Amino acid sequence: MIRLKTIIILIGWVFLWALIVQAFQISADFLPSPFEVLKRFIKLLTHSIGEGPLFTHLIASMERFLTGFIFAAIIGVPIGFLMAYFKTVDRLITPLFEMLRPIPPIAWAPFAILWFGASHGSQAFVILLSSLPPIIINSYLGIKLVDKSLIDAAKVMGANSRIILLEICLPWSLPLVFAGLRIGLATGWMALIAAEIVAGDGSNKGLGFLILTGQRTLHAELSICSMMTIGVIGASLDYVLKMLDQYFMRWKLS
Amino acid sequence: MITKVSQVNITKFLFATVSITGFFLFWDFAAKHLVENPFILPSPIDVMAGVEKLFTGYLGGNIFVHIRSSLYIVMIGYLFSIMLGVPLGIMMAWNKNVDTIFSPLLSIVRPIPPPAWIPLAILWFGIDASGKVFVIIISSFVPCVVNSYLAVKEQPQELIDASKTLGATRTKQLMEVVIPSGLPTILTGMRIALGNSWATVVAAELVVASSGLGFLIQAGYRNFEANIMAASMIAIAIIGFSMNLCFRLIENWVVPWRENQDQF
Repeated sequence: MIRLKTIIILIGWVFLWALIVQAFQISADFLPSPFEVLKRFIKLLTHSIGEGPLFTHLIASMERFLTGFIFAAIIGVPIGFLMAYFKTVDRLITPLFEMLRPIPPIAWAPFAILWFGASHGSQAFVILLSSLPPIIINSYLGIKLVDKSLIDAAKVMGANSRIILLEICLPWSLPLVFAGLRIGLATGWMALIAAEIVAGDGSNKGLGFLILTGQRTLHAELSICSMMTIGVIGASLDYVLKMLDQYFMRWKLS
Repeated sequence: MITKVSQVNITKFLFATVSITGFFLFWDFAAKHLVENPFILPSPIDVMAGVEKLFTGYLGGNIFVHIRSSLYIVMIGYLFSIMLGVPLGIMMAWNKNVDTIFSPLLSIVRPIPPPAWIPLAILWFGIDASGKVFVIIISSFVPCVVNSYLAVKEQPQELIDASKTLGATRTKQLMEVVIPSGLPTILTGMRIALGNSWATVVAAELVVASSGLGFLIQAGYRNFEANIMAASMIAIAIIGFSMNLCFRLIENWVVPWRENQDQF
């Protein structure tokens, strides 16, 4: 029932958009009507722009995104764990972390182009930088917030530190680590588009490239339909992770 | 007890000194012996030269001219999005009809990353300040709306019930109970929005600009002066950090009763 209402109101908004374009006779270069965006979307599925149709750009963006995100997870989770487990590591890394964090990840983009090239590596590096902090912080908190009485209980029953780590700390920290990965995924997805637009000159594929092309060739409808694709994928990625979270973490106390 | 605390602080300080000195030594070593190319990795001393160059003037003025131009854009866009976003969030949470009308629109706009609007903003408003102000509004609008919405929605029902019992009208409930008690959350949203808009202005200036700190990075990149790039990044970090710090001080002053939500 609520779903139906949402859909009706969405249609209302789109209708309003079409009406504004129609009523003020706005040129399609400036603000295309929803129908033109839809037409362009259908055309984009089969006709190629740059290196291929929509699907090619999608794959290119996903590749960059996954490279950055997977590296962030591989680096971030162990760093967070080590920082929580060993005080020395914490005290050595925290100052560096605090020093480098105020630099917005996107500001690294020009250096990233110099270091890793414009077509794949630079975007992945920017994504890595922007999904790293939430992953580190949540992994850190995951271990730090382990219930002390559990550890004491295990010690009383004669568990050694390896068992405490594997059977108490890791399972206990999983929900928070997972939440960190979810936040990292969202910030990384945001950074992907920023990086593709900022470092866009070096490559001719990717969803950010499509948005830029739309602007440069005065096809606003191309930009808008790529933006919508980005939004839909971002939202579905988050939705999938949320479902996975609910499925795997169903033992978690809320 | 006091000695114990200060001992911990001294240890922390020592470790911080060691790690930051180590970082700079490694950077210097890498720049001089591993990369050996000041265009790809400038050494810390190179970067200091870049900082000096920025202070004496680089492409249209010294660094303060560029800082002012970036801050000007951020402030206008940020103020606009607060004026639009906070009332909208509060109204959405307070009035069901407003919620049903605007939340589908928000759920469409929210997943689109703000920098994705940069090309459209250029198309609509041109390459000068107004296009960037538009992108800033978009980037800081969403946290303002979401947090104001949550602030009103997550009200303890007892407070509202109590004020109802005492005969408060609906407007009075909103103005004197709900908004003051939700203020910490609203302010948190505004702080997130400020950080977002600072990162976004840098992105927008990297794409197209004729002044500003993002422009300096891009200019350094184009003129093969990596030390200018690094120096501008340092300036961006310092200003972003101080803006965050100022906002926290304001928060402590306006809502001293708030719990410290950030643990890191």
